[in-house]
Amino acid sequence: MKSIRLENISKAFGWIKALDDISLQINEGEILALLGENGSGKTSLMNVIAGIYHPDQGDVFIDDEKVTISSPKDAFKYKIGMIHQHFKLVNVFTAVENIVLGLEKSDYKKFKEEQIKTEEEFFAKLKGVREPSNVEVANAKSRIYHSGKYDLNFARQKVIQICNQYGFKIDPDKHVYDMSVSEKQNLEIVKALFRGVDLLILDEPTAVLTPQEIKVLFKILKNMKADGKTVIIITHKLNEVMEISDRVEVLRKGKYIGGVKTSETNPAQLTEMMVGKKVELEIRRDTPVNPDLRLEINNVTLVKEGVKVLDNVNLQVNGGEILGIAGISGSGQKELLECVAGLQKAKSGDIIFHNPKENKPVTFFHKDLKQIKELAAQGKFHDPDGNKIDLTGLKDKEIRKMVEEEKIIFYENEIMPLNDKTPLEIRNLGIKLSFVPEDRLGMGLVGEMNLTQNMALRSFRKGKGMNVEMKKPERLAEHIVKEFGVVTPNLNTPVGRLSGGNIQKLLVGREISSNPKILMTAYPVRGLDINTSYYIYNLLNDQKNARCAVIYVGEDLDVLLALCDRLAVIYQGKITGVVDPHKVTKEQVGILMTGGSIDA
Amino acid sequence: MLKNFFKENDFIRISRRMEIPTWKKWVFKIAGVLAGFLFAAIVVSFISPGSFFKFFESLIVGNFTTVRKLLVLFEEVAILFLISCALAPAFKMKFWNIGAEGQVLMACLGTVIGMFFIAPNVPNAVALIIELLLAVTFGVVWSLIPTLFKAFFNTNETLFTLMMNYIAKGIVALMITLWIKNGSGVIPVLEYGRLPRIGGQNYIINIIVAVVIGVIFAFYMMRSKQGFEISVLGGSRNTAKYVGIDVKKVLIRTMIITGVICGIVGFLLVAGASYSMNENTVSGRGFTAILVCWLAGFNIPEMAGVSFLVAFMKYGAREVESSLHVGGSFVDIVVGVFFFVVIASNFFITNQVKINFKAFKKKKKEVIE
Ligand SMILES: Nc1ncnc2c1ncn2[C@@H]1O[C@H](COP(=O)(O)OP(=O)(O)OP(=O)(O)O)[C@@H](O)[C@H]1O
Ligand SMILES: [Mg+2]
Repeated sequence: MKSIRLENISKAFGWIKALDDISLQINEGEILALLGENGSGKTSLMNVIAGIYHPDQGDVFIDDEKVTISSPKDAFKYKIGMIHQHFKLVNVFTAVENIVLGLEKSDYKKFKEEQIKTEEEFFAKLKGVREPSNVEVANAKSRIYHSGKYDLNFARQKVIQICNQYGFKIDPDKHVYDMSVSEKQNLEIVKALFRGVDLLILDEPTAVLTPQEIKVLFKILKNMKADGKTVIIITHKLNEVMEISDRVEVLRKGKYIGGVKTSETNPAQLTEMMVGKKVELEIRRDTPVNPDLRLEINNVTLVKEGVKVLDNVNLQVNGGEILGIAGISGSGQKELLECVAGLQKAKSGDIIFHNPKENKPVTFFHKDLKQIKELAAQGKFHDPDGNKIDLTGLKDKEIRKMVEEEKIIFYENEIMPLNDKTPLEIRNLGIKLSFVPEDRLGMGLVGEMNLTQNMALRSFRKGKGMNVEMKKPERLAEHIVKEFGVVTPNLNTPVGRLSGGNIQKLLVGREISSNPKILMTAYPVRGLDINTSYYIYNLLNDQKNARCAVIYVGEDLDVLLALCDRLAVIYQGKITGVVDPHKVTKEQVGILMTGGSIDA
Repeated sequence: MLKNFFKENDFIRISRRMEIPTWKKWVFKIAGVLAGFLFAAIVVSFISPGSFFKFFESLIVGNFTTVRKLLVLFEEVAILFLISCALAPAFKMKFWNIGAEGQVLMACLGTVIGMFFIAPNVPNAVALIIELLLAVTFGVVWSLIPTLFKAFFNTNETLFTLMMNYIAKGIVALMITLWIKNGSGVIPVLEYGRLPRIGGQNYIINIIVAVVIGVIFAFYMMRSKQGFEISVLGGSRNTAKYVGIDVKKVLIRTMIITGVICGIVGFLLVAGASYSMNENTVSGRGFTAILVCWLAGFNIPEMAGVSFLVAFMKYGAREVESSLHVGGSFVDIVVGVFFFVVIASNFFITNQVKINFKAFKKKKKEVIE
């Protein structure tokens, strides 16, 4: 393969023009970054090259010859491979088994012929030195011809050779289920290289990697380039674009906007090309006003499969403040949030919610009549004039009226232990706790359900009667689609079909929409374009100003330091420090993230 | 060989569809059904030459020419549809209950107990209520046993429910030999505790019950909070937990509903139709209903349609069999061919097939040159 040219490619889904008359060129041996906002058509365009989508119009040329690529297999024929955002590996198979999987007999013969060449080379080298022994010849022959359809040994050797050549670290006999995300990604790439691809397409490969793993990946990509391979990388992180790519092509709303040499551009210009106008990229951080304790996490320890995933964690989260949590991914962040949300049961320790009720009227939203009477008997309420309320002797009707007129008022904040509470119990206590989990389709949304139904997930129990009330969720879906600019054919589209960024917007939008008292977010901008990312940062800041206690688990240290009011660092389930983001440096946070200590 | 033909040539290109407009899907579905009839007719004319048109005639004659035939047809539709309704919610939440056969059979047994031991001694209305309660209890017990094992010991429900079918058959056979002392091994047609006839016909009430339950059930699945929970669970277990759905509770509740509907079916089969039973009273419809569920994609209105097709083919093919004097397994072959084609037509819904006429012309030219 030398180069690929796309001419006038168009593709529509319903009324959405995912790709609108796109023409662009991919040169041999370059690393090309493909940029664009969420839903601009990057994945769709690459799917066309990889044989997954068929363009409604337009042609693909490889080395000036028109081709039809109608399946991923076809794409391999043209030496094109694509690594998707969601991997397609078989878990119970080992690395090498996954690699040979799906090879056709004819493919295999081809590979074996390649091996003949290397055997021949071996023999050629021997020439003049000594005669090959009969045993050597026989072995080589039998290896080549008599070892069944899948010659795993041969494949294994080839995998090792690929790994050495480009710098992957893969154990060919490791099972996929034992692999980390980055190992799986590497395996997908090796699999493509095994099939001899010359053009490798990576769809947001860095979204799921730690900074260290990203460094390794980029090293590999550079090695591939040095070897003459072509790479297309999709990413939303402009610093990565600047670091790795030779050239940048930009899409906007399905249209081709233009291309630039990386050396001749800068992030500001790229953003402008993507968004279509100049944008201010600034993270707002307002000074917290009277932060008050909202959530206490005391000595929480969580054990999973004999391993302490959380080790005696102590944290305090305040209303009106953003608490950042930094750490290498997999250090216990996810489990910590899940413990608070009631999805995991801590082995020991307390999680206590301080409901900000001081001088607020009691409502039927989170207390029923019986509970109100009990609390009144304990002397928890006062009337608007500040006198203690005694409800004894009053009729239910009268009490109801007083509640509705907001005349029954709490003296102080309510203290509610959350240990051992299920998510439903937490909800029934009237605690507005929102949670944007890390794996949005695995938890948080249902891919097969449409937008409205996904909006109803949080609220479907509300309302009297048997049936799910769909009016409000529908309005919420409409609102979020408009407010966040979600690109979707309509509200009846299954959310699994939307682009990654749009899915994330829906989830964040739903979770923020309930005016939570606690908002926990894990990597909320993962997969989002920069413009939307900044929009989300500012939304979190707004939530903080609305006195919500915000927890932000992030990976980008620059963002963590710019957004948060306090920053906790977690390492192997332990909190190694809670620091002031105004005063600390990235390097110091880095030390804490790897288990070291700093004096601050 | 064939695989390579499709892969390598330029004329026909097959690829997976990402989505398909609703109208197009229905065009393919209807075309699939028509093709099914066509192929079945072709197979028939192979077995009995010259009977291509006779086949279609028989389909009509077998189903539509008398009121009785219509009733038989729709009663079969009603029963199949109800069993499919019983299965659909569990399937939707990925609980593979293939034990409807046994669940219905146990319900039949419950009904017979009521008719045999209680009905002769009490007013008919009371007898019917007792029979229904017995049937539902038996059905629920039979559906709950594997469910509880799944919920608390995580046993494999597929094997468990399958096994329960055979146990049910064994119990029924045993009971019959215990009760019927004269050695015939057959329960006589029972006089008491029958559902009333409407217009002198017995099947009508079964059909009415199926329509009513079907409508309620469609609303339950598509609109209700519980139906919503089932869909969420089927879509993603973790998301269900995240929004506070108690997985075990929903599983058990859903399987109770399955048991109740199976119970009603058993009650209708015995008290509304056969007034007797043996171990083959359900006659495989508990399994056929699985096919109905899948073909209809768990969509309740579509399930009614598919149930109709199955019953229609069954009685149509029976008529063919008797009018053409062909062997016994003939019905199965024709019905099999029909559904094979219908299912195969789904291929065109999930895949796109393009024929490239240009390439065809080009090849021709090359040959000429
Ligand atoms: N199979 C599909 N069915 C319906 N719509 C689709 C499908 N695939 C893509 N789209 C729509 O086409 C548009 C482009 O999507 P695409 O996934 O290519 O965007 P993207 O640039 O990769 O976005 P992101 O950065 O969020 O991943 C989106 O509006 C998306 O909703
Ligand atoms: Mg994408």
